[in-house]
Amino acid sequence: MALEGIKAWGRGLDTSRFTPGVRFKASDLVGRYIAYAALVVLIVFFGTMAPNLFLTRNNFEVILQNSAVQCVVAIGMTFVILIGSIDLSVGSTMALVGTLAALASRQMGGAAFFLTPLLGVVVGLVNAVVFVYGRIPSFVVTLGMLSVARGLTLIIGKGYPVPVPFHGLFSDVGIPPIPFFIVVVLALVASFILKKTAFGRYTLAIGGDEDKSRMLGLPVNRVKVIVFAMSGAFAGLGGGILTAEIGSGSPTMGTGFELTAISAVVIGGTSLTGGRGSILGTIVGSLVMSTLANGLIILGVSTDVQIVLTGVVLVGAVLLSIQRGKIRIMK
Amino acid sequence: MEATIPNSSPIRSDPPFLQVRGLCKQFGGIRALHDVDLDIYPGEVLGLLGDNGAGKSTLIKSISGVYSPNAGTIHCEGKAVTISSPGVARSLGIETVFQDLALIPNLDAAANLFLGRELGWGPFKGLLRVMRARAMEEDVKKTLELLDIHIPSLRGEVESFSGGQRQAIAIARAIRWKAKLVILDEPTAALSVPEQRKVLGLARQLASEGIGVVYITHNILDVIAVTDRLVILHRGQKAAEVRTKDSNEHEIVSLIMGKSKTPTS
Repeated sequence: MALEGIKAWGRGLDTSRFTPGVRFKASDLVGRYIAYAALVVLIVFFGTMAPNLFLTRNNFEVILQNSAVQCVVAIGMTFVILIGSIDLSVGSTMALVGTLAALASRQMGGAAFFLTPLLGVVVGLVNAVVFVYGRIPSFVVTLGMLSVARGLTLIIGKGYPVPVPFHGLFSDVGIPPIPFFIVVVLALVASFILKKTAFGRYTLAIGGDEDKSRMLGLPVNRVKVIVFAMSGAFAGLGGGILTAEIGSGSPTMGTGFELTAISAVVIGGTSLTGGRGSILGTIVGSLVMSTLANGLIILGVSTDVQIVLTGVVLVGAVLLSIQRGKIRIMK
Repeated sequence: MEATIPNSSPIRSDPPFLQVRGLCKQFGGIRALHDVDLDIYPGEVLGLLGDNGAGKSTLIKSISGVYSPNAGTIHCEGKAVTISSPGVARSLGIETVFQDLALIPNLDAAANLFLGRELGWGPFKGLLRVMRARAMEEDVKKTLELLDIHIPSLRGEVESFSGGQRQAIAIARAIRWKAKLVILDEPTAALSVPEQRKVLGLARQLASEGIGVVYITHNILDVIAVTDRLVILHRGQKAAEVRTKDSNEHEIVSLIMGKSKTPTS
């Protein structure tokens, strides 16, 4: 830049009116770190209540293993929520993809596992095209897909689980600690994409202000399509891992998983209005939920109570962290 | 309304940077712009005036690639161009400071300055670009230092900035890219009085650097202080085109209100 004439143009501009109020509001910090605090609190609490059962290496491995599928699906969901949308179809996508892959494994063996993210992409692309080009809310599109994919799963499997060949690559994927390693690799890759690539930055920009992003010439539609395709891919892979773990593609698999995944993302500090959040937060949010479930089992609390608590934790996290000043109307 | 200066006798003999002819834009049944001609010269501040709904914003959005016009031609430095997207406008050297600034609130200053034009490593293009964060931040630091603009933090979200600071960031974004034409849409609307003066001064400074400036405003005093030439729109058509020094406040007001140009002395 060699514009001598405008050098020091800003000198004397009034910059004293900086009000730090917006950025450093307590609820903002709470939102960003509540998951980390909650994880520590839960570990201390259950560690005190049942040190011999809870604070063991074996138990921590169980927690990690149990949260693996949830982490995978929630990583994809993070991108969706970051653009300010929602994907309610992930649970049904898991079942459909798991069942299809289990069927495919009869023909092609263990390699069918690698089909799972691709099959998931197909479901995600259908969501994306209807959402972006049909111009209807993602909530409605994916609510429809939730039903469509579940129904297709029941039709294809005739209502019964489809077993995966017991020995081989596919079922081996479910053996600990392989799912955990998959999560680590995916989280690193996804975090890199979000923080370091133009795609990641546009994801945040769209969540921040979609109209302005368009005005500035960002490829908004393309980013949205890719985000929903990614959510499908992660849900498909999650369905594949779960199918490997339980040894069959079941038509009821993944029921309610959309709630689990969304909870993990939101507890992890990602703003439901989009634009702010992180992959690491989602992983920690996911660990909070599986630690809670694990601790309650160890304390002998019934699983029915856990379902109640999952809902309470989700709403509690949002109550503490939502930035009410930035949302004018609650609907 | 008749254009008071026919297109056949341009204001200046040198070629304009941007030449707009017969521009039309419709939204459904509403005629937002009809057969508008506009010449924008380097080193000149052109005031674009008109009442609300006169078509000012539609006209500049058609030039900056936000809207695509239904009819008309645009020549940039003598070549016919189709400004089909904001990216095309930018590549022609047309930078716009939009009325609402078009800053993304949850991103920091560097991200906003480079949004859509991120520096990347290696051969990757488009969405796959791996961003050179350090290089972009250094660049923004230099730009802000040169302009002597102070912001609370380079990494702070622009949402936390004051109105003046946001305006400064939006202006820095336009200047950073070696623009040949800078469009300032109601640039002083949200500013304090000293800040308004700064922005008025900027328009003149840019023009003295040989940059074309289009200045859109409601404020007649601003217009008289800063522009060389005025184009006045009325109900989507060009109502008048005058040299600022040949006109006066009363005449400008009546032209904005749709009265034909009164003969001056």
